[in-house]
Amino acid sequence: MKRPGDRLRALACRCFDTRTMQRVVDPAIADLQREPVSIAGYAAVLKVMLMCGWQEVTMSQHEWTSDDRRALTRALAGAAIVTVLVTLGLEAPFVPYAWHPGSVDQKLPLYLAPQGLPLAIAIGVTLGMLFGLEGRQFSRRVRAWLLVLASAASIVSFVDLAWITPAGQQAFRMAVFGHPGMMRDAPELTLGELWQFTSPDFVFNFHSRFALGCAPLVLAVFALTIVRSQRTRRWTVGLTAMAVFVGYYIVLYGGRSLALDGKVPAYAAAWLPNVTLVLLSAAMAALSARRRRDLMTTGLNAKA
Amino acid sequence: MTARRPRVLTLSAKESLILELLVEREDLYGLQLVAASKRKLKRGTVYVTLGRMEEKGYITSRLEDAPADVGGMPRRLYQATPLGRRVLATWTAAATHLMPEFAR
Repeated sequence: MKRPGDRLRALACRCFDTRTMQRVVDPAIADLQREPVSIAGYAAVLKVMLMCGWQEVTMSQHEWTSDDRRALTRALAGAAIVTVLVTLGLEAPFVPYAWHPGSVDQKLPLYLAPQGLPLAIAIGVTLGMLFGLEGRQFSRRVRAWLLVLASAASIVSFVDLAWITPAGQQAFRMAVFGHPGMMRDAPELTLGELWQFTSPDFVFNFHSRFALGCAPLVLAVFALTIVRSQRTRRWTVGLTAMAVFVGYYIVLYGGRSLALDGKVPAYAAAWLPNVTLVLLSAAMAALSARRRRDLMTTGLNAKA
Repeated sequence: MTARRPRVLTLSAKESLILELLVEREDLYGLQLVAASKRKLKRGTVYVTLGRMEEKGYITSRLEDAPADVGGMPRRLYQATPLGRRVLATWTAAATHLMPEFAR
């Protein structure tokens, strides 16, 4: 029979070492189980777990193993390089126009940079993790750090999509067409302005900014699931990355078409790629855990 | 959480309160400490503080001998160590000497 807090304890076991479990998490769960069940009790255990997680993440660098340091450095360097390269690649077609004699505004590429940044961050985070961690031994601490950094990347993406990209788009249109009173469409409206509209296109645009903002974190979870799998090879990593990016955008724009036709709610279409990836990650993690369990059982049987 | 030996013995306000309670009454578990502190300690932070104090060597802990018919995991009971008692005494004396207006 499941006791209160058993699920939380199972989750904590996956995140923390034995010492933390015995000294910090288990006493909190023991008190939860021995008192009448209350929301405050569960909240306290969750807070304890969050604090332990934060301690693990902020543990000083000299306590890291060289494998961990190398894995983190490679993943971060890879993510940064890919993000910069993709941003430059997306900007490159517009640079000749900006420096062309008679160009309307030399800042044109700058106005368009925010539009490409979320895509560059998503690709950078995924490829950085896939190629930086592939075939390497790394601890839970590295995973926790990478998830924290991916969350930060998600926040940057979201802020960019919600406020900076619309302003950049409008500045671009003004520079090219030069009408101060030009009507703004969904991409040029900020989040607060989009909220007031109810047509599927605007609702999809509103929700897709949240969903695309979450994409770096969701893709990071997926990438970590892939590299944790024992059977990963470099070429399969590359293929998987390609398949994920293409799949993400097919599902996103396929969902948008369905939403515009009124076949699915616009918010559901916007969140569909993230939900699909999370489910896929969960299924892969479960398969990987099962494979590890089977391997362990086979090993124990062989020893016996 | 890996074991870390602190270079300087420090005592935060919460740690000092926990030590005072444990010196007064031995063998308290987390929720008893929260109750005894009259809400100065919070349920969500007391376990982390206790874990840190144990690493510092100020307190020690053991699992209670719970009867088999009691559902749930055994609770962890805490006691002040001789080091913890000395640190508390020194800390209190220093606080009294340096800041008489803040002395308890």
